[in-house]
Amino acid sequence: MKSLIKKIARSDVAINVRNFIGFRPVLVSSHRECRVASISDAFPWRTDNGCKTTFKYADILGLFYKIENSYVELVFYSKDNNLIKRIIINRLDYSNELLIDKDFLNGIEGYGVFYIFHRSDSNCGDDLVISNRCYVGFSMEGSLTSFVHGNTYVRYQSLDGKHGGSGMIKSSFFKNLYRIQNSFVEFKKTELFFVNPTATKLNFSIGNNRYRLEEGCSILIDVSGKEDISILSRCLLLRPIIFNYKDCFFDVYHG
Amino acid sequence: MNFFFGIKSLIVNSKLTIPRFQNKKSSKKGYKVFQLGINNKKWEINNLDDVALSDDFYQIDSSVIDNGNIFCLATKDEVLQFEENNAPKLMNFNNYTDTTPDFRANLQVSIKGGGFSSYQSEYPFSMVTKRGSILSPLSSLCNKSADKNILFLKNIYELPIHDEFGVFFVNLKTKRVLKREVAVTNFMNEIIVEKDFIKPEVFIFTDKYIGIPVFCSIKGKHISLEHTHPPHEYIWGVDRFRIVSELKREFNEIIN
Repeated sequence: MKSLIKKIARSDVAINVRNFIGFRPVLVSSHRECRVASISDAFPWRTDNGCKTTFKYADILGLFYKIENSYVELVFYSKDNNLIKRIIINRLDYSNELLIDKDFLNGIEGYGVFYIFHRSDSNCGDDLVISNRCYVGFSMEGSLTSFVHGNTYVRYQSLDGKHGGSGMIKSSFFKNLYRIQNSFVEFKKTELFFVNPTATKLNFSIGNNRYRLEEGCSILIDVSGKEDISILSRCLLLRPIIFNYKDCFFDVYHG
Repeated sequence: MNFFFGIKSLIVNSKLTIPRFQNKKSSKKGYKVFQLGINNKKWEINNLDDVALSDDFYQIDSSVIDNGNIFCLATKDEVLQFEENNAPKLMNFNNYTDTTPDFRANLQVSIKGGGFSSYQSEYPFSMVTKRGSILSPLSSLCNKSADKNILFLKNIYELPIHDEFGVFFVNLKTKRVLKREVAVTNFMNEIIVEKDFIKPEVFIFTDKYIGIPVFCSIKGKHISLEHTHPPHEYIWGVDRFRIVSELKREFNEIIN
């Protein structure tokens, strides 16, 4: 009986109801139609104000599953979710690195997000789901790169690239408060980087300021000098990446 | 619950900021910050009275931080119960920091007259009761162009002991151990990473005890600090622990 109740509670319909009313919500949905898949965070990139982004990622299929000749596809979008470029990288090491600067992004100075999907042409069985948490680092005007790891599951694709989806982070009917657990009063400047991780339009507010993001869009918000930063939205997991600046130094971490 | 920790080092300064509120609620005044350390093979717990930064934050600076100490939020009643039991092992005081999304403190390291970098610094109680091994790639967070790369390896174990365990630098392609360092339980271990080891095929692997590997790179006055993920976070599905165990077995065979 208990297992039947558990099964019902974990069904798609029940999860939707739980999320809708806010009872034991499931923040991240699984993707039952894709049993052999690669899940990606929405990783931020920045090329604004002389910033360069370094991306470090692992060959998960090679390391954990001993699958040879796997490769990755990286897809880059602008802050307005316009596709900039798509690249395939073959010949992976266990750990790999990619520099993303304005030359790499066709001269674009700005910010946005990108996704990484692992690919394999080999038979990978029927139950293999991986997620590359990766690390993105930011360097400004030649400074040492400051790294932060992936923050939110957003999109997935099958390993053959034929199927995929988005909106892994769910929303509820009621608004959710997320208060960042750090104080920013000591910094000269603080920016929050948000991406809409849901499959729908996202409205959120910080204090009296309201923001709207379409699916896949991202935004950098200046919140300098505030001690209390509370984010109100229907999204169940809306955590920003934080950039703090003091003197001629900066730091990045996930909020 | 989570414990929190700092770093005492000749190379970097650190300060630990612990929020007094949960990420969806306001501060609860009953929760105070306590410091735990090992004294005469027993856990000793002390209230830190004077580290309140504001109504919402505690801030613990380098004068209080020690590599053998840890910190937690608890009520006086919970601490009293711990002391009455004679503190034979760490206990799960409460679920105040078990939140969704995850509760986050902030450990900031800095260089005098230079840059700063942060990491969230929580150590879940579920890790405190476990032994085992950790596996982490070196080149993910180490930086070959940095002047210094340091591995800060924090272990918190429930028993009040300082037991030694091995930290191995392993080349997975050549199946060779490049170097063995000794770490200690219930301590923040500081290990310098040599530049020659920063290659895609080199990993750190521990025997006997787990911990949180936090990597720090320094170049001139700039600094970067971040932790690596445990390998099972890369894999979804029912057999993820089996797959990670198989990979760890491979490393175990190399170090033995």
